[in-house]
Amino acid sequence: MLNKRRDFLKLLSLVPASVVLSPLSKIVGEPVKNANHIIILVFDAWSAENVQMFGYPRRTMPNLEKFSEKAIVYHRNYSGGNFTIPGTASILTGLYPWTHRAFALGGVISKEHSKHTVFNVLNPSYKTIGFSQNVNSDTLIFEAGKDVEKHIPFGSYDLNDRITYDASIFQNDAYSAFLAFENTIFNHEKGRDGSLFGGPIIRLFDLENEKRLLQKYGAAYGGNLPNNYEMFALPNLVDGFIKLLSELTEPSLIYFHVYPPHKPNFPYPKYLNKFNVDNYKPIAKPDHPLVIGPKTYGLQNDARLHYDAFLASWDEETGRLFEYFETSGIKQNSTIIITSDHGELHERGYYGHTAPIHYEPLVHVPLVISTPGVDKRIDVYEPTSNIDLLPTIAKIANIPQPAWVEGQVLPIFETDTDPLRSVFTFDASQNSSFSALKIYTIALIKGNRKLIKFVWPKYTKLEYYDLSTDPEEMNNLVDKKPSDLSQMEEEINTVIENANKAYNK
Amino acid sequence: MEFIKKRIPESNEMLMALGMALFVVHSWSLRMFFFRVPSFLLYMGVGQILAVLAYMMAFALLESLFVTLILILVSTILPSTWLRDGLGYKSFIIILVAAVASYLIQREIESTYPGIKTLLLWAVETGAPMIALLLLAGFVKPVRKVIQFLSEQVSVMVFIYLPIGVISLIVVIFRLIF
Repeated sequence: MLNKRRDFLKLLSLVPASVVLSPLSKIVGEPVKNANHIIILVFDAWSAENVQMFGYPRRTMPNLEKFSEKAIVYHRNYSGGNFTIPGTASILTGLYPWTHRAFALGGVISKEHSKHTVFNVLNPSYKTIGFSQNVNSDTLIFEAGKDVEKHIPFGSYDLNDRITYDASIFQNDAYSAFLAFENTIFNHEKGRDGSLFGGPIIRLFDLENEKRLLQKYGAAYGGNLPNNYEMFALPNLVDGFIKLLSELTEPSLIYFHVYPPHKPNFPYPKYLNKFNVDNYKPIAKPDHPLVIGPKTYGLQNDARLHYDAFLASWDEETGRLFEYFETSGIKQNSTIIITSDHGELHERGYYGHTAPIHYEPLVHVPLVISTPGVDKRIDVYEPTSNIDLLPTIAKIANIPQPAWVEGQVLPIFETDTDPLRSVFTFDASQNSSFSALKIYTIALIKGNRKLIKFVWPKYTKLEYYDLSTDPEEMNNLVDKKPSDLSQMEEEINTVIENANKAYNK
Repeated sequence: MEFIKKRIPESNEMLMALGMALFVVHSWSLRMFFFRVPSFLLYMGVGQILAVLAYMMAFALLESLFVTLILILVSTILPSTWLRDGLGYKSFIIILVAAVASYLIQREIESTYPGIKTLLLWAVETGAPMIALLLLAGFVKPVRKVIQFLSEQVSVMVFIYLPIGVISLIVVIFRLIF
């Protein structure tokens, strides 16, 4: 069983999506309009390729599977980018990274599009609430400004307080404060601090505090604690979210972005022990030239093991949240969207997500939507993108589609969708946000075909995969010149040319 | 009041101490800023970069003032011959050694608390050369002259970094209010 990884996906991908969709959409009918709340729940760095429901051999998320029994499951959903900033910006704006321009590490959405967010679209029809446990997406929520009526501070559910920019005094200028305090004045143990004397002293206090927290809470996580800049316990996140939901008094849009399963992965030990003995052996794949300091197969697998166990730990906690959705009636009268900003890779000499190598684990992200009227699981196999969330939410809320949006309403919410539409993922982390695109990776997914174009200094390459027969992306078919290769390449070139028009003047 | 006046170091000595603190703290802060600038240029406009610089310089000003205040406070408490008399050159030594120690210690504090033993060791490793240099400068006049000369040269920095810090602080306050 475990050696036949993704076999069932291979089979399913051979079935034309339209055949699967048409009858199901008839069964379900129109989702109910004007749901009470619209909840966007984002798990950071969560790859669909590590969830059994999407074809992974390990059963990492049984509670999600249960939740999905009465939900729409999008099996081929893609993030806009391969790390938090472009991925989140695409969710919030419904735009591809080359349009919203938030594609550098630390970057934000361009001024032109900074108010083009889901918060702006739904405000004032809905009370808008934003929270992110990832500092990078938190700055994007800050950028939305007053369109977010209630911005829950970054560290609200953490065990300690190390972050400066989220203090109330900095609310008017949080992005500058973030870049100054978190990136330079205090580096939070990554290199040297910009504060010569204060830096080390603050570090000592913080580390001493963390030592105490580890003594108090660490046993549950094998002597460690999940952390971003601050330490946190998984149950606190769920408890905090449940409390937030229980206090809602009016129809609300809630963007709730949690850090798990982002690394560092400190899972409950029982899941490490469980997956450690399941004999699952991922296919060994060649190191990629764009990976710096390649990791061995063993190191990648160890990281994968911890990631999977962390997913299972997080799923154990979210089980309580899903139960609350049911018992509180929220699931019956609200739309709940569960997805991720980007995936996570444990192959090709790498583990993590900032390497610009857009293979499936990095950009194929889960998308599960529960909405009133859906009382059985609906599986959708058309390629979709997280840029489709905003137009879909607008449709659910009965709000006219914004003119600037690049995504489309998701299948099921729209019956007349094109199963062969083009979906893109994009990385230009080394390219200036203010100039033409010269260094980038772009992937185009069209049906079961995928073309990846790498344009990097000393490395320009095309890779073409047929995901129906080669879901592991092992056989680059470029040399065999598939019939639609030139057409797909042309489409990519057109996208880049159009994106560069404004900068080449 | 007279008692307090007697205990407080002379103003030119305090200015020299402030000059050294401003010089060391701001220079380090600027080094970190310029280290970041290439990546900032990928996603930030000039205005945004200057805003970050303003935060850093404002913080450096507050940090420098804090360091100077600590030195002045300690000098008023200790016997006057220990620190108050010749605060200018003594501050030069203390801040310089502390800066080197801080630079080295930053590398050691990465992800785990070092523990009391290590902290005590660092305190000794920092304190010993500091005291040795202070004694050397106190007893060997040519050494003291050289340090005094350097200290006076560095005090010029008050007229460069202090205005930069004050302007930066005003910019930050303005940004936080509006």
